[in-house]
Amino acid sequence: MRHLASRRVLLAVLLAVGAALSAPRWLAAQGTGTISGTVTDGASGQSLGDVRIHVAGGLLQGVTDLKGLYRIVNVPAGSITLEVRRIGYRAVEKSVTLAAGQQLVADFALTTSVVTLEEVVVSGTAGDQKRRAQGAQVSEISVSDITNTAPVRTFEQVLQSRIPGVSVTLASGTSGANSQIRIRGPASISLSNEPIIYVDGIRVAAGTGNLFFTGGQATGRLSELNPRDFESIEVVKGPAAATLYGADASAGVIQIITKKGKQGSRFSQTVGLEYDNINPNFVPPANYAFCTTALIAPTSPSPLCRGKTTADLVSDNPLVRQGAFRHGNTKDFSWTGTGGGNNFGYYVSGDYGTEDGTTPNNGFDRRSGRVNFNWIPSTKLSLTVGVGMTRSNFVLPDNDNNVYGYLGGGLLGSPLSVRDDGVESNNGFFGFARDVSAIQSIENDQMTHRTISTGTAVWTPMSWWTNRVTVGADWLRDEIRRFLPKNSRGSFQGISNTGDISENREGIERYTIDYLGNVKVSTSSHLSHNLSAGFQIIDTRDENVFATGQGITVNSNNTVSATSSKSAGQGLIRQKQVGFLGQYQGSYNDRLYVTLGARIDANSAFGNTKEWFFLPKASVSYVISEEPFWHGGMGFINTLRLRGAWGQTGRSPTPGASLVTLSPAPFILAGTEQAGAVPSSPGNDSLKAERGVEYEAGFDAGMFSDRVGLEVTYYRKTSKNLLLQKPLPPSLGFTQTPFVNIGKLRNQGIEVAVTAQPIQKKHLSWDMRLGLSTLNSKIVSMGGVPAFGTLNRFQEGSEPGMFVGNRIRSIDTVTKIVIVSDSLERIGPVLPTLEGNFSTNVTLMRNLRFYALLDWKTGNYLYNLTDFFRETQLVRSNNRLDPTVLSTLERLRRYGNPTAGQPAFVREGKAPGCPGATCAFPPTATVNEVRDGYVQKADFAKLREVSVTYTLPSKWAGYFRSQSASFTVSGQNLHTWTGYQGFDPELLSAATTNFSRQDFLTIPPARRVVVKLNLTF
Amino acid sequence: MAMRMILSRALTAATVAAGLAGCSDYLVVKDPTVIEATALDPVNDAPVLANSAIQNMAAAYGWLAMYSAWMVGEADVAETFPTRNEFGRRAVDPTNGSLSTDVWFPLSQSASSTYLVLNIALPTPTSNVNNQKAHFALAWSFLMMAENFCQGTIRGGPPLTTAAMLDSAIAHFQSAIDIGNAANTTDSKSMANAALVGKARAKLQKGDKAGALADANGVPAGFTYTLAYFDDLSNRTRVGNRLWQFTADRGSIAVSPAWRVVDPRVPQRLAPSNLLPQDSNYPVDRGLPYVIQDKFNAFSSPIRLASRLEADYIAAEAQGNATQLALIQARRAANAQAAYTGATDDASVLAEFETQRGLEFFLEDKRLGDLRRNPAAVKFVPVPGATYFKAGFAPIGSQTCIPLPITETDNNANFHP
Repeated sequence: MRHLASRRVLLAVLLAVGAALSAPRWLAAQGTGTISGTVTDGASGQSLGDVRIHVAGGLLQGVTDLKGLYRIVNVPAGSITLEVRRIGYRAVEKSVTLAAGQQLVADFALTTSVVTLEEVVVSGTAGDQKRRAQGAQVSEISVSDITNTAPVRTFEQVLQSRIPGVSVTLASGTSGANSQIRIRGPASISLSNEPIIYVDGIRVAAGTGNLFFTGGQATGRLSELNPRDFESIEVVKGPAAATLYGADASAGVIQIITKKGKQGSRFSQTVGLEYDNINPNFVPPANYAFCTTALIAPTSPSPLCRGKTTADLVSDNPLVRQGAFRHGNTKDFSWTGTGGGNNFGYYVSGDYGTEDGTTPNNGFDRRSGRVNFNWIPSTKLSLTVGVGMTRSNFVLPDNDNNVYGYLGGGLLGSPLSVRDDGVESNNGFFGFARDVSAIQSIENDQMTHRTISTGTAVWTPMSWWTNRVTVGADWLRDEIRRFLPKNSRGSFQGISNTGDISENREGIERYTIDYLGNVKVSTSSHLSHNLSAGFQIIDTRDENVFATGQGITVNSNNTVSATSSKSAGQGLIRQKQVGFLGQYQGSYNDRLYVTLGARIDANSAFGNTKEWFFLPKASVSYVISEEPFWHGGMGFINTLRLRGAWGQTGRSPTPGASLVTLSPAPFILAGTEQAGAVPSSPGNDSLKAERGVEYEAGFDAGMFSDRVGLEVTYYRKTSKNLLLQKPLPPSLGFTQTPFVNIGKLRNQGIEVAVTAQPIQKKHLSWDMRLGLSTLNSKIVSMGGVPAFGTLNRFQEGSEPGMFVGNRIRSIDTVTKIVIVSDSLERIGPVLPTLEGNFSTNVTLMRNLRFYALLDWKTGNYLYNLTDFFRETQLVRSNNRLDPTVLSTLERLRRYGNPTAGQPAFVREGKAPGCPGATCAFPPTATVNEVRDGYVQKADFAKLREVSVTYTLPSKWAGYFRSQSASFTVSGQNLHTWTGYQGFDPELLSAATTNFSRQDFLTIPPARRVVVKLNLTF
Repeated sequence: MAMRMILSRALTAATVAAGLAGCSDYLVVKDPTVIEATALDPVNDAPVLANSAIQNMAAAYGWLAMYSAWMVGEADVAETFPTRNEFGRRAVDPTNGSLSTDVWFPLSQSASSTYLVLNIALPTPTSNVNNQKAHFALAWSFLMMAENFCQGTIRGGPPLTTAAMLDSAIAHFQSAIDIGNAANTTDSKSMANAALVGKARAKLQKGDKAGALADANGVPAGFTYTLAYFDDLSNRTRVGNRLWQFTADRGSIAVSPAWRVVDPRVPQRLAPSNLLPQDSNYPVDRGLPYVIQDKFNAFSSPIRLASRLEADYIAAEAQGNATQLALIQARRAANAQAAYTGATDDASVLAEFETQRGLEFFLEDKRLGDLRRNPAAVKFVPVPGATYFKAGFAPIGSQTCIPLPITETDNNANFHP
């Protein structure tokens, strides 16, 4: 009976929705007409898709399909202004008069433009959302333009080298591993510097998955999102623009806007096929050793030393010998469908991609689907709902700082352990019986099911009053597993050889409710005012339950239940935040805009203080070139906008950081384990969010008839009340370092973007883009906290996390004495101080497109820990063992004095009390402390991508029964120019950390050759 | 109209205020993964805190036993960590990360956590066993600090000299003895006797031989006090036997060549194939097979903390040549060794005495203290200036005690007056 009732309700709802879709209320009303037409590129005459034609003053709009066709129905009759916009083209406004029942045709030929003042910016804005009204810079990437031709599969690939000030570091060549994203440098020392991520207005989980242990690399949450579903990405770079995102946005905000349906357009679908060949682009170096007397004997088990002379240098390359690396591949199939009816549109997609990495147990599969539906039930109301679902499967190998890793095993083994008598041994690897087959038997998996749901309603009861409500949720569930199989060879450490299983189930829920109301009034023909107010609630719950076990009977029975020794644990993080915001924006003649706004925030992470956090902002934007006095008077500069902004955001501490806590810790009493406690954190009940204060100023210029665009921005971002995990003296006995609000970190720099379209002809077009950004990052104040850190150091007046060491003062090649400083001194910064990129597109005959992307980073250093370890800890490198490879000077620089009984390095003794009884340092130093030889400059330039896309003529495409077909061949990571002596200057063996920049047994980025076919029907 | 406006505004203000207040309540979240300090009952939970402090001490003891064994040459560092190899080389830099996290922090936590109990106004404090446990754990912490570290400090306080640390140890041992005797339970008496051994040891280290002798003689015959450990996969670093953990899980501890002797007091065996050193090239570099200690062969193996046997050694050392020689012969006979026939001058006897003591208390964190007390008599310690047994490392240093880590000296304001 209940089921029957439910079905009736469902039926009623469906009928109601159907009725609403098929016969909207105003359809029957008199006085409407239809506007349709075609939009083309003015220079080439090619039809343009994804152009928005918006009926000014309302919610009605159409979007062109691939043939440039659009159709808007039920447009109220009368005088109407149509606003036509597309990224990369000059916006057009056209007034038309529509009679009731009329089928009006309005065609548009758009002119390309590198000046983007008319673009609408969604992120961080209220009131007038045109770029011209925004005093703070929000950058935009048209993702659909990129994915149509370029083979990008991850969020990071979309973002890399496209926006000045946004730095993406790939970190490794491991498929599925996360990258590091930084916007305008680090915002914090102790908190995350990753930007927060929004999808269609709701905040989603970012960061990394919680694999048990890989040694360094982690899975990236952003890889779970399919870029083919993105329409665009907006990057809110700093506090000046991010104030409306509240007390957690000082590291920047990235908003993903997904593709929407196109009301009034017919159904079209696109099929994409992609295949990547992944070349490891890496030959691991060989290991070296001197033969011992025992191993040169005729009966020796060593095939390398047998018959040689004692102290002969022999080499082995176990990874090459056993074929550890392979050519990986990516296979991806994608489908999208889009279309719409008179007052609704829909977008549907499905994608299946599978990637095999360059080592046997590395892969990344993703299946995703998305449905977006937008409906305009009345001229005053629009509704948009979207659901994206993903199932991702990451398989990451052990590597980096890990003796179970490929490079840890292969680059630290001794050639002397190679044997050919069949006896189990290290056989050239680091670990006993831990060869490639043993390393690849380790399972390190993460399967993630993720659903991101969004809903937005825009209600415009009057033409001057707009209300927008966004609600949404990000649900994800991880199944994480690590398994070391039982083996009789003794490949792993100790008890792990009996089988070692770890399982984790983690669920994250994040809900967002967001309201923004806007009232626009004009008090004269010159003055208009926008008043906005709203609130935002974000509620996050992250819970995990994990279990581990050791000892199984057979490898096929590999559950925790099957183990003989088990343990379990649980974690829970709750975080809630609430913010209220308000903004006033006044404009004069639609060319001078002044904005004042504020947000107040509270966050559960602050504990019980219930303190509200006030975040003000102000900005001004002035399109001076539209003043009557301009008259094109500046010669080649035809468009000029001046802008400036000041604003504040924050970064909240981790939940519970304010509390005085103890940690559960058992004790043994009478032979049993009982529940106990140890001091955990002294807490800090006056904890506040970090306050990021930023001002930026700059200009946007269009030159040579807007064929050349120039954007220049100077920014100065200061993080105050820096949440620093001030190191406590260990003697206090706390396991956690509490946060305190002290200190000040300042980043400043200049961002320059130059866009040019020198040639725009029918059969030849050429555009190029140059991006440059500088970063000067400095700790202005430590709030009285002494400098800390012995490799990456934090001290007033220096870059955060700068590399330090005992610097070499002098090297005497005769006495072999190497004098070093007696205290830690700066070597260099960890972050690039200058980044740039250059890309260019050349299109021939409208069908053949060439693309190239070059980028570079300079000024930073990287700790080449791989070489350090292979040369000074476990000596396997011929750099050390073959005295002819390095010069005497370089050998002394790296290894110090080789004379027996002499210290490697001698401290110069200038620090107070040195040399002497009160000196804090011993008189000599070791290779661990003198890093001049291994903290190396990591400047590089990379030819990141070269691609050729051929769009088949319509006639040829017709052979496939498609409207259009394009074929792309691309090469990625093609060449690196660098002086860095390790495998790759971008490597990060711990990409999740803020300032640790180490290359330690990390697989370098691979080279890819990609072929891609797109067919649209 | 005006009244209406006032009412309207008041209503709006009240609504906003209520909304903000509601938000404040909404923002209160509980974290069930930690113990908020306010959730503990100071009196009723004192046993939990006191027993936890004892476990902290046991955990610190395990770490120190391993690291000091490397430093005095009882064991070789059979792994790659450069920071751990610094201990094997007697050249520990203040910046050494392992020094801070593995050695100094556990000992510091052991000391500081006792104040969670000592700062509580417990009923009948002079016979309260929780007070006794706290004094006991604190006294041992001071003693370990004094014997192993060149200088010390607790709870962010000023630098402490060895003598000051020993004085503190003696004072807290005395409190543990007094309270234990007053409480007069089997456990409290046992702990009091262990404290008596500790007090004697501290006095011997301080040079107060008469006091050491008096205390040592008060220890009952056959007395042994051990610290308990447990095999719990998820808490091995806290409750497991550290020496076995770093033998079985990491393969870090190799019995050094000098201690590869046939003696029941130094159980050892050739490692089975699944217990290789983490740096499994150790046999190649060393030219020796990998021999593991078999004294502690399970995560649940207890470690002796105090005993009448140790009291005998303390008493003999305090009394001199004849008593030492007598104990040497007795212990050699008891362990199937031939009688000592070497020279009988004071230095020779003391050297043999220290060797017997080393065999007796192998891997029990006593030998670094022995080295500092009788540097000439303690053998088999890595020789300053000699080549380290692994290639690529600097020669052996000359440290006889462990320096405080820079994490302490940098961050403790009392070190920067």
